[in-house]
Amino acid sequence: MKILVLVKETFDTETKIVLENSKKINNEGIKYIINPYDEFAIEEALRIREKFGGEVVIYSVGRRESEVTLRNGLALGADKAKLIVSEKIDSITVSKLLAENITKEEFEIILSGWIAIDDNNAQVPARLSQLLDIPLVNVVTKIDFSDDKIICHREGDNTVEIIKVSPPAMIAVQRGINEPRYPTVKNILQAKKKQIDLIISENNEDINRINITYQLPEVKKAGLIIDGSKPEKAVNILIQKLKEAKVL
Amino acid sequence: MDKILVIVEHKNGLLKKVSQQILGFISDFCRQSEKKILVLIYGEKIAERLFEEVASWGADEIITIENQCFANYNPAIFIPTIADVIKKNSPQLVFFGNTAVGRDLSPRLAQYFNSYMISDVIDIKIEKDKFCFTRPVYGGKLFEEVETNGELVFVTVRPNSFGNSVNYHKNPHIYNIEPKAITNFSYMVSDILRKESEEKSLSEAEIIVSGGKGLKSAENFVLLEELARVLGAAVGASRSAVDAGWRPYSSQVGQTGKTVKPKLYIACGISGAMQHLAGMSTSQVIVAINKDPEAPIFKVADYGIIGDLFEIVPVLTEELKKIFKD
Repeated sequence: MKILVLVKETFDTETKIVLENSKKINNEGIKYIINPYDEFAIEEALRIREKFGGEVVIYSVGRRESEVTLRNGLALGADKAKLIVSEKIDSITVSKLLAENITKEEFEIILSGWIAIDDNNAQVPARLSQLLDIPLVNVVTKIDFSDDKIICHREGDNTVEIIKVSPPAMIAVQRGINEPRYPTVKNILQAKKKQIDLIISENNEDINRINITYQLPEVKKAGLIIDGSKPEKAVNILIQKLKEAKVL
Repeated sequence: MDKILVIVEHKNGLLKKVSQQILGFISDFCRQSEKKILVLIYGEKIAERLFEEVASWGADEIITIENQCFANYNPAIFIPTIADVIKKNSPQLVFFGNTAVGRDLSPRLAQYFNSYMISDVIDIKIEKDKFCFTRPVYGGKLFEEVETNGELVFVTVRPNSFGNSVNYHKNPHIYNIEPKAITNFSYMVSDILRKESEEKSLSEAEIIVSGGKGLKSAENFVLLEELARVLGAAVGASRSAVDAGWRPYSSQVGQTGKTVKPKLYIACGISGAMQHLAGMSTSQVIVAINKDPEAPIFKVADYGIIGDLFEIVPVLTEELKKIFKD
């Protein structure tokens, strides 16, 4: 089974965001990681390969330097990686670039995280599946195989939907699907030798029909701290305050 | 005349709160402009009182798809019919709640129309016909402001982003449309498992009581469940409580869990790691109960009690019981 995994490089979750100007985030000294949701996708791909054999290929769109981050994905056990180098990484551009390159591949499953922790967009899986004209099951917490069908548990609002699709299909995974493994020393060493193909995108089309600016949230003014050594007294103060704030 | 299409969701014959909030906000705005509000309601059966409810939010047109095929969400069935509604009416904006359905359907439709989508919006400013959408990025550490230029854009709105609005009754034109014949059977919904307990949905809850490592065990969450019952709240958990196996993944609030925006968020025994704050920092009022005065949760809390949650929470539950009895 050939499995493609879409991986996005994101800022580390503990990063403090600093703006260069209202249009640009300062990325000096930033530590990068694989988007945590995409890590679940890599893990799931490896488990499927362990069961059925095949190949796991990482696909990513981003800056050239993200090669370093993609090596971490290879160290987990993926076979190879393809990096489409692009300055623009909005959902529309990324989906288009991925579609252009993936149409050339033969594959059974595309896996990815359902959302990225940086842009909070959750659009690429849906857009890409439309472009490739394959089914997408979104926000998936379990994948099973039965005959030639893929059976997914999709998270609804207080429900679990059981969805059946046939390959080739795309599945965007949610936390809870698995516990990602840690890279082994052997795999880390092997990852150094694994192949990362660079694909230089020629997509220079300007599709910026909307205007995006950034703003840091206002610093919250310090809250009221209540001493809890006398629970009754503390609780009464709290309830009084919550009534005043009209939340009770 | 410009049109705005709102795709609403309903449950037990009532609009979902997030749909109500979107309609309220849009209706406040449309009253002062020339825009028309179109509302799309779908389902196997559409309760009569839903029409009244939607009409009370100033809808100009209510389009229904009342059909068995629309009982359960299936994108392969929904997209052709809804895309047709959009083509026929050419709205400027299409709104969804940022729900399981909205999050999935909206980007698919956006791609279908080769349009922009603005996900998880928490605020909208309107100036002279120009829309500016605010949405949190980087786990709420930054806000993105998106200004559109009038072309078709798809928007999902985070629940509890807009407050209550005043009703504005109109007599809408109501008509039903038939679903388009389906040719695509590539996506099959074979079953829907409902969660056993009438568990309150975290993302729509107005009040959330959340617990972390400080709870010490799965059993101790009973304390929070009791408090939640008195408040009509949902129970959430931090990542460490989930990782310890005390609560299901579905109750995790944070960067790799649910993002919530309740009126009141009560964090009990949660230290407030960045990963957790990412999921709840846009809550309206935050209360923290924690033994450790240095816990970072106190930096975002509006009201913090430094003390033992095992002493404080039961007292809080009892006191609130007295209030709600009156």
